[in-house]
Amino acid sequence: MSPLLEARGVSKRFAGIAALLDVWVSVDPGELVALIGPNGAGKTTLFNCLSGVLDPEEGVIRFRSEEIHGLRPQERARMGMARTFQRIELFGAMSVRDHLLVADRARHGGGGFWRDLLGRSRPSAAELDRCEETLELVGLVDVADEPASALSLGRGRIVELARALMCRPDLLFLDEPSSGLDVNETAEMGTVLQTVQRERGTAILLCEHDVPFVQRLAGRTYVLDAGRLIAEGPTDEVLADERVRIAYLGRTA
Amino acid sequence: MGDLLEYAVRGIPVGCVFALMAVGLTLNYTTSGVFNLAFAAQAYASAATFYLTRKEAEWPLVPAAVLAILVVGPLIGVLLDRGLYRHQRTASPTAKLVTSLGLLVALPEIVKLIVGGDSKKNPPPLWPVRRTDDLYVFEGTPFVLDAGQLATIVATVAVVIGLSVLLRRTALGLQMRAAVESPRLLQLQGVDAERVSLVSWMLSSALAGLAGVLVAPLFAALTSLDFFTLLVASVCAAVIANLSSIPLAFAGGIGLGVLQAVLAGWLPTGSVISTGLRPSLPFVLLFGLLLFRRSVRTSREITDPLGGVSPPPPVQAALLRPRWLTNGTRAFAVAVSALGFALVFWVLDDFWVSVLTGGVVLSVILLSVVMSTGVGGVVSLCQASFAAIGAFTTAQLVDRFDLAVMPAMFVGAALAAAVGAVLSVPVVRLAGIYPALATLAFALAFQAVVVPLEAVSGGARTIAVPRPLIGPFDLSGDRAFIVLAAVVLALCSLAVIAIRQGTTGRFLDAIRGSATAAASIGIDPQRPRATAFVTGAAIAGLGGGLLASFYEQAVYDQGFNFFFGLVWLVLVITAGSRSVQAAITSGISFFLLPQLLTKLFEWPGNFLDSRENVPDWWRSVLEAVDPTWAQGVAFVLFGVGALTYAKHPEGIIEAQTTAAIRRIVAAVEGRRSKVGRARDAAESLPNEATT
Repeated sequence: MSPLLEARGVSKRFAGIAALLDVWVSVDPGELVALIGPNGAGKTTLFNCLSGVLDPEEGVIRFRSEEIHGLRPQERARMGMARTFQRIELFGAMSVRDHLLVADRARHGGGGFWRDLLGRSRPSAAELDRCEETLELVGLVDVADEPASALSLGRGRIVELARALMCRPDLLFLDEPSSGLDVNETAEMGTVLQTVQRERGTAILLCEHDVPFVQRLAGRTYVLDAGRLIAEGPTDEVLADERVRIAYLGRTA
Repeated sequence: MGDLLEYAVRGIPVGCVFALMAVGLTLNYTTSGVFNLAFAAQAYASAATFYLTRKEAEWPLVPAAVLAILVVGPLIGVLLDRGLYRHQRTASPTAKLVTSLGLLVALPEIVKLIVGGDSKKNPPPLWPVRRTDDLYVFEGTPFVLDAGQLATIVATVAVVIGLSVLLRRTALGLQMRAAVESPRLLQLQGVDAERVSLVSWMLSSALAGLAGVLVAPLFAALTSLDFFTLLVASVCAAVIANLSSIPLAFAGGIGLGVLQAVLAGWLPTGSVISTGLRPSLPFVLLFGLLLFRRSVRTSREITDPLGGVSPPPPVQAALLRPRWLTNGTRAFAVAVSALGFALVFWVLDDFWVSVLTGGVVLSVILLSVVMSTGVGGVVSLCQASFAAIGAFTTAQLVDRFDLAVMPAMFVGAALAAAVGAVLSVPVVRLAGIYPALATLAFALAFQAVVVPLEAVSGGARTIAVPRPLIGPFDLSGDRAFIVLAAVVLALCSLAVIAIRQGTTGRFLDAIRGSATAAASIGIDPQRPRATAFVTGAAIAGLGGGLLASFYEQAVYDQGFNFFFGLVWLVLVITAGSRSVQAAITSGISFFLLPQLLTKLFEWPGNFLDSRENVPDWWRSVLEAVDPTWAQGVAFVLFGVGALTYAKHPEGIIEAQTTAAIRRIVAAVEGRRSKVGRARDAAESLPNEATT
């Protein structure tokens, strides 16, 4: 089976400093993979290269065996990639349900202007059903009509996840979904991710700091340090690796 | 080649003036985060002071120059910093831009009210002139300078030396340079950023004042509108410097002056290119820079050193409104319109009906501001140009091809939309304050190049535009025309609301919330903005045709001057850039307020005529009131209104509506819950008895 996403030899420099150096990553359909590494390892840079915010100087990125170099984020999103952000990015005071409606519209979009003028842009029953389904899946039904800006950080991250899910992605990039969450919220996030993977068969690439969270969820893990891939493989083996321990805890540990 | 060099040398003095103001703009932007377009108005204020003292009061040179450049200039700077911008630390760059636009409208009118409205011919140069043809010839060089040019070069050199000494040799200069590098770090070092900001305001305002005094003799008479050319040229130089490098801004200014002079000598005289391109070079160049410089598009906005996290955008009034109140609001709108028509048909005399008709027609154009700026998020300063396209198209089609007025208006709207579509390609890619600068450059270039063409405005001839004749209805009377205008206004309002609430509006809300996140779910961050901009252009074009038909002629300076576009934008943003009723209120006030003020200022004269024995002091006060103040005072009020934007970015009307909705809902729910509480209390009594 060919991988869903494949990055081969990706390098990215900022003002001469290598943020990524010859990184190879692949994700199979329906798989939950983690990407870990200390701060400044280049995790977010890799995410930005994969989702189209940045373009790497070297290397090839393929999605469903198709090269996607130079495609802009919105084009990649329409191909079936969705993401969340490390620093939460919500649409201000828009209600939670409207966040999902907008994402659904963007997926089915097209021909909006004349329909707007004729006043035929109200949410249809089918759209509302799809929103309701996702709201139930992630457990946001009780706050559906609240403005997203009024929610806690934990709930905000779930709204981002739900919004990404409305794109019906085959692959979901999650940039530190547990950062800033308390123990209960982290556990809830983990449960939601497992449900999503199980029920929708969505492949997930997870960038994380929280090692127990990664152990609970990810089958496979990549470790990035100073822009280089230093380990990859089944999560438990990788976490036991000497080099990974050094990268995380320092040489003396 | 020698000729070219000579032309180049001739451009240096003008370039120096551009450079001075560009340095002021850059210095101020980097140290205080304000891109102060109002420097043009401050330059005008200093130039007017110099004119008044030197020419009318015949002061000696030094006191006049000191007062104009070193007192009036910095004083305005201090007032603006302490009185205004210091309280806007946390405001967005757009909010600060709107404030400076308001000042740009209000300040020159205040100056005119003070110095008098008569034309100020032949502004004096900043250099003692012995004879008018007194030239300084430098043997063996191509330098031949008159007094004004010599003054410019000497003053600029002095300023450059002074400024570099200040920046390189003093502690304050070090702090200012540090603020350019990293404002936040400077603040963490315990430096009083307030003081740095104040000094930079004084310095850059003095530079603007100096530029104003120096540039004034180049114009035949002192008019505030001429200073926009200076503004755009220096903005252009500042953009060359990426709004961050002072030496580059300086070099950019001089380069621009030289380029302009070389073009003047090199281009064949008398051709369209030389008459059109040369004066509009700064606009064209600014536009080109914004178009092709990638760094401008991707550069992050500088925020104030003391700025905190920007507050979340306020909730739109309409979203707070329960359904029963929505129906109430609609009923209220219908009642207000009915009352308006009743007034027009049975109460008001012809004069006031005409004023009101103008207001309704203008409201259509102002809806385009709501569409482009409020809904689309593109701060556009060229809506007046789109209106002009609509007006001139209508006029030419009617004049040359005998087309009926109404179809001609729609062609005009379509043409405005087409121009808008072309313009939208670069403009919607720009972020922050750059769309405003690009559209300002377009508006000025349009005015300098396109408007004078005979095929557009008719040249010296004024093209008449008749009132429409629809079937059996002759709309030549104002009372009939206002019905047509109201119908067009209603249809355009519905269109704006439909787009705001439709898919395009939702996408635009998402993009404003977070452009990155919008792209991550597959929304193109530019297309909805372009849709809104083009729709805005079409509405402005339609409104322009209607306005020409209202005036029964298409005259650029009567309704479509770019300065009006500036005032309109400021008005609508002040009232509420996303709201239709704000556009209508603004449109009607633009026509009504000057007339009301005229009536007010005429009152003292009438009062004196009707009374015999009025005390002398009272008589002298009343005689000082001049009815011609009205237009100026109205513009001052419109401009000053924009200063509320930082507090109410949603607009005054929107804020009032939100407050009213909250009050009504609270009152109604209070009554409901009072009933509820009484019932609860009654039910809970037996329970208390049992426990």
